[in-house]
Amino acid sequence: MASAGVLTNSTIVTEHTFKVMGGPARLVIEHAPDHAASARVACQAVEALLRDLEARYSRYREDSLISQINRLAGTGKLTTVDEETLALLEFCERLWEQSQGLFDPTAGILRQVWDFSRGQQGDVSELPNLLGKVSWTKVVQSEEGIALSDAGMELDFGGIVKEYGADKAAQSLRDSGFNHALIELAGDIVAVGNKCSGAPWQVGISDPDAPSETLVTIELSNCALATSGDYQRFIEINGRRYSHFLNPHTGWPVEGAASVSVISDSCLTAGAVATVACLNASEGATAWLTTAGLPWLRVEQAGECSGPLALAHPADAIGRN
Amino acid sequence: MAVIERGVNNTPSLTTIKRSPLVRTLGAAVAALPAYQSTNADAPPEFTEVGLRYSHYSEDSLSEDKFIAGARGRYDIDVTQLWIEAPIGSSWSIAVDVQNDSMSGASPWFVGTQIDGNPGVIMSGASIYDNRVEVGATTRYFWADGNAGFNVTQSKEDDYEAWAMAFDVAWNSDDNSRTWSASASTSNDKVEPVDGNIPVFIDREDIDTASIYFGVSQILSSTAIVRIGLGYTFSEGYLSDPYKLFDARPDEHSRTALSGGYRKFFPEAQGAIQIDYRYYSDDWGTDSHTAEIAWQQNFDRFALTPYLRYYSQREADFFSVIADLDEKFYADDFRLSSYGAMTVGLRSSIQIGEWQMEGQLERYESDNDWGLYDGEAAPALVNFWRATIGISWRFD
Repeated sequence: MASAGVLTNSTIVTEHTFKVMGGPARLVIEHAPDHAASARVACQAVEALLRDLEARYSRYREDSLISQINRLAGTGKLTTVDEETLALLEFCERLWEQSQGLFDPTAGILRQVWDFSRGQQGDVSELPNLLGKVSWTKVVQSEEGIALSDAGMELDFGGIVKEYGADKAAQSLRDSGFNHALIELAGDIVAVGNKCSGAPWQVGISDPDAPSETLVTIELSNCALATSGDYQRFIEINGRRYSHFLNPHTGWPVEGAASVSVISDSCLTAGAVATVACLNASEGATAWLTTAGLPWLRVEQAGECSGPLALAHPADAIGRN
Repeated sequence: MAVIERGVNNTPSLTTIKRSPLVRTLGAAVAALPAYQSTNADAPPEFTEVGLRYSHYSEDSLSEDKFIAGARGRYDIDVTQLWIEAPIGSSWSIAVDVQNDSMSGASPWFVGTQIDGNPGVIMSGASIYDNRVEVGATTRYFWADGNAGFNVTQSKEDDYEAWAMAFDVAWNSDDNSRTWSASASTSNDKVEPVDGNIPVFIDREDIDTASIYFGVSQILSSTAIVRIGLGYTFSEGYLSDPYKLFDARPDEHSRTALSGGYRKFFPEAQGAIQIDYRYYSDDWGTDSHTAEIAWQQNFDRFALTPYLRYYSQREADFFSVIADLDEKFYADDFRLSSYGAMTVGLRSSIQIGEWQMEGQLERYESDNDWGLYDGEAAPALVNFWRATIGISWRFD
């Protein structure tokens, strides 16, 4: 359908920006001029499917599936879930196993202790109580549905839904016949094919400390780049900087990277590998990223960059100081 | 999938990266999600696979009331197969397959009349032993929308040698919901019968065969797929059976087959129904129907598939229960008669880490009364058991 755009001078670009899942979303489709109307329809369809994912999986929405599961925590009542949710749970299970429990979708309640918006340490005496409610093994699944075994437990798909949404958006565009597109969901990027000219998409990994600055420019074609981490959100304790990632075993923030970016064929895999890297302290993160074997870039709290993607630029261009 | 490198950098390209066990484990869970179910771009296998399979085929002895002379015990065949398939770079794979068939037993020589007036079979006098070795190599090229393979196979036994070449190609539609496939093959067989238990009357003959196939499969939904295919095969040369006393067949044989299949997965049941049908017709007057229904039940790392197959064929124009030697062409081979057959079987497979084991047991019975077409009953109709076990191992 949109492949006629190999003639660069006859290619036009449809762009659509909106806000979803608490962040900015941008869709760019390159296509032949006579597909402008269907490109707009395809953008609307992508926006709708992302809003649908948000409606189902946001923990901020009272009527979401996740809120319903969380409300029934400890009651023994099962919530029926669809196949897509079951498959997402299965993905969580694998990632939980592979990360030795560092990735735990029930760890969200630990945020009650740490106030990242003010950069303050909370009441750590609450931690033992909260840690008792953090355990993926207490997520009960049966043929009839899913339940959280203890009252006060919370399930949070925040770590994977945006990345999954980016992949789903890419698939939706491909299914509509658009094979030259870029999807950006707040730092998670999926490149659908090349640009119409045949050139790859150029994307920047932004400086966590100065989001308008680009640390590294990478060329993507038919693959995804996910970045975990947020330099704005950290806590300083006794002069040491901690990230907003919370270790589900200790309940404490991780003294780890400011951000980790990973490239993979799916944004979900890239995001999962990047998130677990952020949940590890330095040495553990490097070991994990090496095990994964995907291209990565790690930006430390102090600003140094490391990883195969850091080599993408001369060293002096990467250092931020 | 590719990360294209910039001129000045050394960004590793995903196409040259071997997927780690961690990424493969996550990838398997990713693949189950709806967003990825039509993104199956063609790619070579990610692993090298080595497999060994053994199969035993055993025909029931000919029953007393249909037997006139010779040895009653019919064929037993042991089949051993060893294969290896490996990716080469990011776009190619190569596979080598070696198979050994070891046969023993007696086979029907001709059909005569018993004392009671009913037809009966004169079997070859004593056990025939034969060994066949087949070696095949396939190389396959993969690109984003399809793949193409080229295969060469040689088969050799005491009295027979065959060479075959085949080319096949499959390509996917833009949305990956439809796959077209086409293949063409040619083979040359040389028959040099050996004078053993049965006297033979030829020294050396040739058979040349060519065939083509075209098929299409269409994904109907995330849980259903349908396929249809049409094939044509033409052979010329010495097509009679040199080990049968009364067998004179035309020296040309053209056959056409139309096949279709439907698969539907039921997520609640963790199982899939598989329905297949094939219609075959040839210029010797034979046509046949094959229908199979199977249910694949998945368990955690284990699958069980019971199946039932029905077959019915119409006899060839020149077939008669007792060969009519006044005709130009004649044969009493039960395989050319009108009959019906049922096969009941069970397939199973189990996956343990990088190892996969499979097992299969089936029973085949044939009877003139079970067929859809009229025609006299051939006394040598066969019943058999077949059992297969296999093991394969994948590694990087």
